[in-house]
Amino acid sequence: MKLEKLKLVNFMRYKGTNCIQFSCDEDKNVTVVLGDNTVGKTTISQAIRFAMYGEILVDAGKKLSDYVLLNSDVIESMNSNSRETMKVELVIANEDYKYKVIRERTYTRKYPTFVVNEVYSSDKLYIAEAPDYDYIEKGEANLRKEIELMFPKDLSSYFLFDGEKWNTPNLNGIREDIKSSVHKLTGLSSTEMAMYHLKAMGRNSVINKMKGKIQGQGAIYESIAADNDRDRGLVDECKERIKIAEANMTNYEKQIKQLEEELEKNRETEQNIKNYRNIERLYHSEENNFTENRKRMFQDFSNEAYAFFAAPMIAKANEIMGCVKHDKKDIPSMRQATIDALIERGDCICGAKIEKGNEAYRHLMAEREYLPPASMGIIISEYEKTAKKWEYIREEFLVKIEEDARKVQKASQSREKIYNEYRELGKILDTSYDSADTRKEMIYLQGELKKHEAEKNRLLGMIENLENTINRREQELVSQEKKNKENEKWKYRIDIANRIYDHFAEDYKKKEREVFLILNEKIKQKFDVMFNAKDKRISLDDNYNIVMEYATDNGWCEEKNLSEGEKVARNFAFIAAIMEYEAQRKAVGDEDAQRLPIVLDGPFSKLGEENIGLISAQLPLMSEQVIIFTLEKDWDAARLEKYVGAKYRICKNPMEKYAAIQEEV
Amino acid sequence: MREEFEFFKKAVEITGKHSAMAAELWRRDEPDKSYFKRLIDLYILAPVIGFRMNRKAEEDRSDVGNRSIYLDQILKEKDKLDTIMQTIILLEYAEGRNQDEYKEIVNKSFRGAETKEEYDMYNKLFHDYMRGGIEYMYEKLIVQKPDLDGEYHDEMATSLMEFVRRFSV
Repeated sequence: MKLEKLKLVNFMRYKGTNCIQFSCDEDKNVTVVLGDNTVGKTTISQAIRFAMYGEILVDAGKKLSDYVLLNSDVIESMNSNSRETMKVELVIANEDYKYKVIRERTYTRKYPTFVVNEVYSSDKLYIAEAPDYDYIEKGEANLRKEIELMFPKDLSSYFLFDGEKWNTPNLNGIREDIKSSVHKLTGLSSTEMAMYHLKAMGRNSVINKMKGKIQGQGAIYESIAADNDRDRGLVDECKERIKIAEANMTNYEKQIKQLEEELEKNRETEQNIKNYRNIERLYHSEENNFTENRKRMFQDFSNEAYAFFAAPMIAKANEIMGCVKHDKKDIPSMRQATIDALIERGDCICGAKIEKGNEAYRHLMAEREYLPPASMGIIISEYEKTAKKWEYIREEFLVKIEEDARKVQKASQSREKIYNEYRELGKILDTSYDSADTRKEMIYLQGELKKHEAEKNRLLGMIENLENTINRREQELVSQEKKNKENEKWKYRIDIANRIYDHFAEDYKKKEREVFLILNEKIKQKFDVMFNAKDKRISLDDNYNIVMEYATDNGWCEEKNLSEGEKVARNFAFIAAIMEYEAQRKAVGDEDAQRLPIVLDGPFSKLGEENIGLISAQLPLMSEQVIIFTLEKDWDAARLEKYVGAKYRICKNPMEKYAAIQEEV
Repeated sequence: MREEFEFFKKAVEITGKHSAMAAELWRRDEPDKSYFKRLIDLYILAPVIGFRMNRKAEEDRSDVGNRSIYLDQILKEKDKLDTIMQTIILLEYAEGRNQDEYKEIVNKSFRGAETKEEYDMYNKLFHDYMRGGIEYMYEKLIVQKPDLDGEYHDEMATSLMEFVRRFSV
């Protein structure tokens, strides 16, 4: 694969049209573009990158939109109405095919500023086939696809080797998947892709899509069958539970029957006990009645006995007093001491003054003679009244007490009678028997029996529902049976696909290891040859990262702090190893082997003269085509003049802002 | 009667064996097993029974406890007690006297105590009969067992009826 031609129109530093016809000669396979610093060597490298990927290498922290691809001199000449176009055209030759990539951008200017707006964009691929090489336009999608196949973007930093900027393999600040890119170049990616399509694409993978076919048809059958299996299991489970419920019911029924028999047997006892309890209550009532009657009798006695028992004494006293004559002129409750008190006070109750000798005094003294204790008349009268009252009580007392006694006797008899019945019944009864506990247990057992009956009925209902569902599903299964044949077909296909995948996986694993070991060995060799560094070596880790190591007394240690020159050396060794591997594949007739051109932008700027010589000696051999943009002085050190098939120089008038590419004949 | 010698104006204390006997006749908080509703009811009746049975008893000071009747209860029943006191004095001192001496005896009975000596004498007379009455009632109602083959079957009721009937003749 070779780059045949690059055409720039108003691209960055280059105003107007500039062309480079790269050398495609097999022996003189080197194209060199000489130029001083900052005149536009890197712009040519950027143009190749732009043609291939529609983007350029950007400085750290910047993005593509920060760059103006239209030549600034052209922008300066634009007004607000004008439009200008930038175009990059790259022709690639690959055996019998030629690929022409044309990327065009049209801009307007935001006058009077120097800012431009992209108003039109076109990316086209034309493919021409030998022998006529008539270009046929292909779509933009094909452009990306074809370029990716020929120049994997992840490896672009290797074959578009920018010695000045290129330190670590990354583009736009994103680390590239070197492993994947190497696999593309070394032909492993096709196997990888096949595996990816077969299995690793998630639900879109071939195998999963085929499985989806089964899920759409065959899986329904299995799902229905599984549901029926599950529900049959549930039916069996329900039947087992019914058996348990029935066993419990039988047990409870038996216990209930026993209790019923026990209650029946003790029904008479139960009735007797009921009677006994009634009599017991009656007895307590009679006992209370008796107690109340006796209490009343004692109360009546206690209240009035004095009158009854004292009556004969009162009678005798009255008899004695009857023999004594009393004038009874005194005033009730008044005594001589009362008169004495009035006289001493000097005022009568009527308000009259009492003075010794006056009428009031004389009157009171006369009355005093009739008062106790000098006169007992009134006291005796009071006694007589009390005697009459007591006599009355006496007469009533005996009647009342006798009545009370009769009531006590009656209550006593009644109590005694009930007590006898109570005692006799108590003797013949086992009063400890209590049917309440039995009845309570019976209620509990009946409740449990009902619970189990309900459980049984619930389970029967469940079985009926399940069996209906199972029958319905059975009918469905019959219709699904027909679809099963289709499922078998898909299962067979999946099986084949799985086998293919396994085959690919095994093959890939083997090849991948093989490629890795070869590349690793080559990298070491190239580093030795190109840099002649005995105390250092490089190798690949499993992810194809290049690791540099230095020799110590204890063996090899990884070098983390690489100089700029070491980084360049490391990457040169890597790309040289890949190029050689591909060349060897091609040599043995591997049609998939790619031979890439190598574009080197300022490759020697960080290297010493000896290393420039060593590397340069390898360059024409490792690639079909070598394109170098370099300084005059580095070019002399490269000593590659005899391999040069095309030579260009970038010219720039210091008074002008744009450069021009001129071929040196 | 001078006021300071007026009867039944003090709380009463029943002592010794008479206290124990009274506790059998009057059972606090057991109205269906107590012949007397209150202790003062026993105190009112006992001197009447003692007098009628001509039974006196000296105060017993043995240490078997005592029973008190509070003054407020005494005052509430003072009329009955005064009447019984007057009757006992009258009948006690009229005994064996001729009619000519009755006026003096009646006056003496109803006038009450004029001196400390009289007060103590009458008071002792009343309480001797009271204690005699308690002893008698204790014997008849508590100690002596009634004949239950007769009209009544309950022991206490029978004892009480026998006791009442003995005095009703």
